[in-house]
Amino acid sequence: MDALALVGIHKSFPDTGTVALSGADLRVARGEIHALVGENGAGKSTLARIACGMLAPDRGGIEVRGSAVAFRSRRDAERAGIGLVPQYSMLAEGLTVAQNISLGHEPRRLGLFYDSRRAEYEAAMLAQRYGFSVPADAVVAALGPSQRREAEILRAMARGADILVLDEPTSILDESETRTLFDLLRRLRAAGAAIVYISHRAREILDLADRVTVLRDGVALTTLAAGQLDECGLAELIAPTGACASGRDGASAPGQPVLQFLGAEAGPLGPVDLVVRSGEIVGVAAFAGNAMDTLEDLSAGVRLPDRGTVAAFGLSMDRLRRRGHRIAYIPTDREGRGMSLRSSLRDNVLAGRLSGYSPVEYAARKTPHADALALAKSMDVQGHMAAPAEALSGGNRQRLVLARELDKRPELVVVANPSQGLDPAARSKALGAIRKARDQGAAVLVLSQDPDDIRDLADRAFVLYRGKLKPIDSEEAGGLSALLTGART
Amino acid sequence: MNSFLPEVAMVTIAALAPILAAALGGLATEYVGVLNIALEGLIMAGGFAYVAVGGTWGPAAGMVAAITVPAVLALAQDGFARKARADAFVVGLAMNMLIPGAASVMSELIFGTKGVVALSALASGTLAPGAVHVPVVGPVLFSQRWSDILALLASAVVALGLALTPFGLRLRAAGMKPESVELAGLSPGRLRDGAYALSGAACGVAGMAMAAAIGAWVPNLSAGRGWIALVAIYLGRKRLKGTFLASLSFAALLALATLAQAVPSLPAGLLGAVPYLVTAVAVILGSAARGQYARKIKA
Repeated sequence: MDALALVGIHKSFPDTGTVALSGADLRVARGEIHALVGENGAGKSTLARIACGMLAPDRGGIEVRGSAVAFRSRRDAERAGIGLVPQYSMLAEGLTVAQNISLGHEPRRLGLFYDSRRAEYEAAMLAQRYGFSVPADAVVAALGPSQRREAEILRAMARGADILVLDEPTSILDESETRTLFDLLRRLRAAGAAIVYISHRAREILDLADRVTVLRDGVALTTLAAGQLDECGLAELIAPTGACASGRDGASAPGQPVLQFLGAEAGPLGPVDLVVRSGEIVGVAAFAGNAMDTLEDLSAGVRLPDRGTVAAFGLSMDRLRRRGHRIAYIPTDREGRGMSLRSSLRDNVLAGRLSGYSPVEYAARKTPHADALALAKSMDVQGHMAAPAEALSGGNRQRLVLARELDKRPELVVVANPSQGLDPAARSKALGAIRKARDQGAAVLVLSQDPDDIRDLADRAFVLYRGKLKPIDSEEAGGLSALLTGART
Repeated sequence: MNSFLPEVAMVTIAALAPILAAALGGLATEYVGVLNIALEGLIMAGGFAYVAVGGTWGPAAGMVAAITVPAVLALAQDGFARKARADAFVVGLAMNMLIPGAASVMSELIFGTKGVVALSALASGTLAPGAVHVPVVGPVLFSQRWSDILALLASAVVALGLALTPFGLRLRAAGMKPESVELAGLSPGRLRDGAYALSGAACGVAGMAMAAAIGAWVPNLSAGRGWIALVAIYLGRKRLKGTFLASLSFAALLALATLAQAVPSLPAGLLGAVPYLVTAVAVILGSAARGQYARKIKA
């Protein structure tokens, strides 16, 4: 008997004219970690939302523990014991972790008032049980990405769910956090939970999953035992394009220094000395969330160092006139910094070019529209030009930001977690675009929590450990991840 | 001069009652992220319902009507905006225009006049007329009208509900990130409905207090209190404490303007306009200050 079975699920979105699922099946057994894989836009997230009662299917059946159910709301699915860890944060930023976790099931005093002390106690106990460090009384806005993810997982577990759906949970986690999560998932599996694990990362899936269901164009292509697959075979199944033939190529020809850190210190970071020259890719692999965020903020000029200097083109970041230079910034916080979710795909992808149009040209819309189409196509962004960017899947959002930022031959590229949310084919295309920018003379700084990004991209590599940079040999492909995890302990 | 401060306090509290009730009701809708712009109209609906129903069935029935009618109106307003996917701001503006017109038509039908409907039975008595001469507490508390005290109690209930109950928490969560309540198995739309119904009921209490204060329905009964309440929310930075302090400041201004009208040498008309002028200036200064603050953060 399956713990959860989705049979012949159809779902289309008339608003945007997309067909997300056309007869998809997924069967997950008790005590199983079941990976759901597929290209960006294959319908994985839609299927996850349907399984969790947040979206009603147009057609198709859902069975929980052998009996047919019809979820009229999220609450029905919650009662059936189905928890969701969503791909994008669904936490209320201004509330505390405990408030977010208890939402909808708040403990009360006198039957009337919110009992914040008990909510915090329960959340803290829950965190302790799973070995999480996220403080229960902290406001979500003050947390880094990995602690937010922890809060998100705790919320899913808080109601004692025994069917758990995780939508790309590791996209913002570093190696050590990922291992903690995997340990947790294995423990839950041993306790009889059924786990649906959505991911792009072939290695991760092979490491963790018992079975794999491949979704392509809204239907389940096949379900296989993970033991039958290797990394290359899985990548081929997801997108048959020879995607696994990615790797380093091209050579760097470093020139003038473009981005310079001189004894830069800020919060948990530093002092950092680093020079990124034109025509080279400098990679920084990071594990701890906080110092990595700070390094990203300094590199992008979002934050100024407390001590020391960060300069680009010879000017400190607060003096730099950005208009005068072609700077590309691909942030970790894609939705917050990288795009406007309410604006259309067209406006988002064109945002870097708007000043290039005459008013008449812009009003006529013909040229901008053609440009937007071409730009979107350059990175295979799929979606309606006029639909809000909100409607795009995570991978498509990432492609959109990459397409816009790497347009117009940048002189400086600051990119954080370039492959977040991308499937193998899209990832190799994105890395190719970053290399191309380097070959055309850009100075590129890559910050990533995924050691593979650094291995595949960096000409020179560093590891960020306890707020300091240590040089490492980027050619040592396998050694990097060992180094990352080794340095931690 | 000895009686001046207690008198200011007394008139301030009376002026505070309708403004605070309306402002806190509005704050509930601000919590869910869709500020109800129709506070002014809903106050009028409450006042008219009090007089129209209370005139036949007595003040108690009038109070029930004053709470339920605007609550249902606000619920319908939000229901329409959500179902028709209309702009909540525009629907709210339409409410502000529709309600006075509808009240005027119904006033003609029920009372045969579009003007003032004075019903002395609906005028609220004071809390303890016998104890008015007790120093300080006498004028400040015991000479307050029942209706104003009720409105302040209702405001306290709304404030407690917003600050300390799961309902208030859910409203805030829905305003910050609708998906967070959706994932918790709640409906953001229902929560928005609840906030709107609450804003209607609170404005109804404010309207009741204003009508009971004079024992009459007059066209334009609300006299801008709904707009002042909106400004109080805005100047209070959309927080509970701030909204309370801003409401109190406006009430004190209104009280001073009222008391100053008793001074024969001052132009009464100008004095009556002072609170509204101050409101306008406060909005301009407030938004200018916020603009500077925003620029500072950006830099």
